[in-house]
Amino acid sequence: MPIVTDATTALAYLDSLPARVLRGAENGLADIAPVVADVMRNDPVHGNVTGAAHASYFAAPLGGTQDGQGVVDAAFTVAQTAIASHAARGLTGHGGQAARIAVPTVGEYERGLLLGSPVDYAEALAQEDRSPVVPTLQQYAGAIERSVADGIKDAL
Amino acid sequence: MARTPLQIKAAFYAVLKSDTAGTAVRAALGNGASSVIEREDLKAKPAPTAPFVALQWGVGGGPRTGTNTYFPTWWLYDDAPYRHTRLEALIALIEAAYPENAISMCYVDFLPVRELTDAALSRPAKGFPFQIRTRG
Repeated sequence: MPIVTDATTALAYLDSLPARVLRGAENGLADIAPVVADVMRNDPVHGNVTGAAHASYFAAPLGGTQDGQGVVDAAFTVAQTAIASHAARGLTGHGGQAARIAVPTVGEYERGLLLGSPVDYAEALAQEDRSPVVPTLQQYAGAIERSVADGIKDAL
Repeated sequence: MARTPLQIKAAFYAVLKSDTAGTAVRAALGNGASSVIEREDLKAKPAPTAPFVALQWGVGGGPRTGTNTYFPTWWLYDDAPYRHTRLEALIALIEAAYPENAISMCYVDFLPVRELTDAALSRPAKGFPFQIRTRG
């Protein structure tokens, strides 16, 4: 008498794995993004004239249906408001402006974080070794990986 | 037994501020326990005698998996003439004060240390981030 095994459920679960993994990765990145952004916003490597750079450091999600551009655009508004507030008080000594950033597109199976500050002097800060972006990424790379792994483990 | 976020923060801070585990760290600071502060205090009060350490608690991450994770940073500061020399020695002492089970019901780990000059304070500084994981 033949023994029949119905693998329908197992196969359906296997089919769902890629979506689960990606969703888990997105969850893990969403969990760690506020931490990374907060670290950059409180980093003392550069000072403040308007406070625009510090206030607008962001960690925007990349890939899938996540609204990374929304995060970056919100940061742009923060920077713009800080600079305008400084100018409105008649204060001088700061020629920087808020700068739009377009979030890059990543592959279908890629997910990530974009770190930065939407001000036109962000690159100058980096060249002068006064930006927290790369050092923060270096310090928190392991924590980001762990958060993604936790998210995927939870989603499976 | 540490449970709430405030309890965990208090326990973490107490390790260097008052616990026996932090004795060697306090001995290496400018003025013992008075050189252990919260970073917010630097905005309103004069800096303590250097070298001193300042806790930045930060935001938590990740309730999604049922594990709450906290990312506090100890900022180490000294007077400019010493550059980062004394701070380098402090790192090892702080590491020793925080074994994995330093806080009950939590797992404590370190992230890489960063060396810089604090632009606002014009002081040599090191940022020493931690990761504290706990259940629920």
